[in-house]
Amino acid sequence: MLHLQDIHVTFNGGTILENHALRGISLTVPEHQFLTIIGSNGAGKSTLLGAASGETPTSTGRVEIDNVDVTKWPVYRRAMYAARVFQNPLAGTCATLTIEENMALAYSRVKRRDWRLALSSKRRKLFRERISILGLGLEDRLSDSIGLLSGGQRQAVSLVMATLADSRLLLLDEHTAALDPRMAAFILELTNTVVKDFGLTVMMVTHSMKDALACGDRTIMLHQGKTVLDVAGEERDKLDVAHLLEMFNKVRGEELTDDSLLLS
Amino acid sequence: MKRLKRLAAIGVIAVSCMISMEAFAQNYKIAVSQIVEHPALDATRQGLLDGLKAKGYEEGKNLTFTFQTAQGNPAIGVQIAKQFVGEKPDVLVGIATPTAQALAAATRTIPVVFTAVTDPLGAKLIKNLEHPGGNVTGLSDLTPVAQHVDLMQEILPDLKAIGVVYNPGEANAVALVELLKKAAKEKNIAVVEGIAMKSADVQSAARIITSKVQVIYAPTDNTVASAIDALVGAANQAKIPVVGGSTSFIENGAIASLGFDYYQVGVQTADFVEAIFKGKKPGDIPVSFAKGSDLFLNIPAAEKLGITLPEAMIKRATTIKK
Amino acid sequence: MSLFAFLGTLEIGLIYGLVALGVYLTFRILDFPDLTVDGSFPMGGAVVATAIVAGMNPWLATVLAFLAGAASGLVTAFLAVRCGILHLLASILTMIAAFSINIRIMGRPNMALLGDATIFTPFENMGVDPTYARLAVVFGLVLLSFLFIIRLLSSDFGLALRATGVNEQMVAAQGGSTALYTYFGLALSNGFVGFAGALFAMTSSFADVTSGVGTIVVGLAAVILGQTLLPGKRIWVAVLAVIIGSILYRLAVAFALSSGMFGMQPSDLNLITATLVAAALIVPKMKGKLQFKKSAKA
Repeated sequence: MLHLQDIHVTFNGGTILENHALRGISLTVPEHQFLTIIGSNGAGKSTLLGAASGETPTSTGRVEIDNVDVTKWPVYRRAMYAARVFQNPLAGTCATLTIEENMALAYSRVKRRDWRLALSSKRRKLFRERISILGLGLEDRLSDSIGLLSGGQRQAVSLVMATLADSRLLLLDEHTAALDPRMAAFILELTNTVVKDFGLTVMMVTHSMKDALACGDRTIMLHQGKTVLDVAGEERDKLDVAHLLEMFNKVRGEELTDDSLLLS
Repeated sequence: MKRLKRLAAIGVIAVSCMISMEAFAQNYKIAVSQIVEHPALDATRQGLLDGLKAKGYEEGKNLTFTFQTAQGNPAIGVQIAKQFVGEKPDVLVGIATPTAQALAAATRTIPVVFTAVTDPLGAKLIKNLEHPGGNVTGLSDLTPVAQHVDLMQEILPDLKAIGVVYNPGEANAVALVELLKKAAKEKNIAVVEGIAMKSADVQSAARIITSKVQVIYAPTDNTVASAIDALVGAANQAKIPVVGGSTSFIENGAIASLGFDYYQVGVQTADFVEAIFKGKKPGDIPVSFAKGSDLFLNIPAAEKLGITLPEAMIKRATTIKK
Repeated sequence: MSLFAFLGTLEIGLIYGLVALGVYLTFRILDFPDLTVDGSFPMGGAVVATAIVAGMNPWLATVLAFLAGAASGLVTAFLAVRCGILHLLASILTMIAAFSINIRIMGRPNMALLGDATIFTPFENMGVDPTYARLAVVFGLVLLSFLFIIRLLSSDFGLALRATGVNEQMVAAQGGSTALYTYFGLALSNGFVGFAGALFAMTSSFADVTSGVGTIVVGLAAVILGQTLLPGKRIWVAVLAVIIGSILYRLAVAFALSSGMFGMQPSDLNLITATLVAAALIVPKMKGKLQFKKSAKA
């Protein structure tokens, strides 16, 4: 499904601020796999996701989606294959448009946008149906401006939006990090549901080791732009947060002074 | 019989009274639209007002004089035209090309008199100078540019290059500069153009060309006219004299000017207005060109630049500033 | 105000309503402050006048004027998107370049259409009062433009266009090229402005390069005035509001021109425009504050 090969990313190349964010990562995510990515701040988690979505230009390396070389494709072309949910709930939706208009935008993600009416009665019916699974009562507020919703509600809508158009790759960039714990738990549960229902291939970046192990079926840990751990199957099932933390400390070669961040 | 005579006498008196009353009560309405306010065009308007007064049409007595300026914006000019046409005056007067065009476009019935328009044929205000036809006629202020070139050569006998500052966005100015180039070419004099898109550019445009020319010609360009002091100042700093296309520029420090004073253009425009008041059709009144080849000289300004104006020129000058 | 003056005001207000539509597309929809309109308005006039005088069919000439305006919009979009020049600056560059180009198009700064056949000529000769005939044609064309815009903005394409001005990241993530929408939006906006310039030249019988001065201010005044008086999130309300705003602006100008009214004189016009726009910007904020105070008390 997704294949990253020897990806290097350098920010501010040639300046004093040069930052080699990814140092030759290769990664293959087969179809229907749910991959979770962890690592400390600056380890390159979001950069790796950016390399997949096209948001971050790669210095060298090759990105393939469905055996198509998309390395040189801009973000909007890769959107044909990949749906995304951002960390910032405000980033994934358009505040001045209504809920249904936002959904219509997502609905036509993989299509050629043309003169067709964005909100036909057929589409409205679909949107109402899909959003009702949230159980937030939003199906009766479809023509409300999405700016009126809370961050968590907007994030929930973003998840529904990600499943409206036909695509199998879902890129989640710490999409629960900005939410309160109750809402975060709800969104995570919702994530699991839609991934299962739509048979998606997922890359999820998270700060939480607990979530990283609880969700999905494969976990990688990044450190200083490299993969330091890649577990799946039984080996992964045996791991718990304490193990992970230990490994984490080992690779860092230092004691963690603040692990609350990771245990959250 | 006696009774009948008396009755007839009373009748005659009554009728004549009514006639004279009517003549006295006749109030003429004139609406004037001007593209922008600057000294030359303002003088035209004043000349028109005074010219009409001299003919017995006085504002406040038997003349209603409405005036609007478009502030240089043709869209406002168009709106003014619509407003005026709605007020149904006896005569509409358009000062300068775009306002005259706007008036002519707004009505096909109310007489339109244009003035201070350099090229009325090019502006399609009229089809024929002799018999304009339609409801439009007026006065062209085509400057005697060739004579201005002669004048500059008379002041500076070995004149090689004339500078001119103008706005290529103004129809009047472009026509004048074309004429200037033609007249100068016949005498093997070069013309150096300085471009000023707005009045704030006039000074720098003048500065740029001063090193290449011996004299600067100030055409009757609205942009230049608005910043004539800046033009003269910049030229004089470089010890270059300015010769004006309008005699009103003498007041601002131009050393010489031949032509008409825009006040007189306004006074002459009054002839057209009067003829229409008296019932003549605009289409039958031939277009005329502003008359009066007055020579204005500014001796102190010339002396300051070390220029001695020829004795013969001083003798034939109509107005001399000392 | 006389009836004729009122109808004339309505006609100019409707024509500038198209300018307001263009300004609405860039300022409000795309969030792209675009001063190109000061150049594309006279460009529309220049193109239509030159083409008609050269013998072209007036309708075709009007289409050409629309395309010329659109082309100038594309230049601004190119400078901004491709060359990364600051939006405002990119549009100023196009605007000043357009001045020279407009003189090139006409070969001179002013071109008259007095007596030439325009798109209005057949309607004016139909027997009805030409003033009404012309107004009806202008109204029809503005109505068509209005319907086109609201239909466009409710389409899949239009939705992405609307989102581009608010959240570029989201549009890209949803598979939309923000560059494409910026190009399209600026071209359409300036196309409408060029169209307005052409209508203006044909109704006033001349094209003049100086007629572009302050187009952006007039357009902006119409947008702000209309949307303040007629607030509403629905797209058709917003689009209708800017056209009504344009007519109201022209009425305000007409009042300023009716000498003596409120002691105003024509040279106060700029002051009136500035006051109108400022008031329209301040009033909603005041309203918000008042409501805030009320709710704070309650």
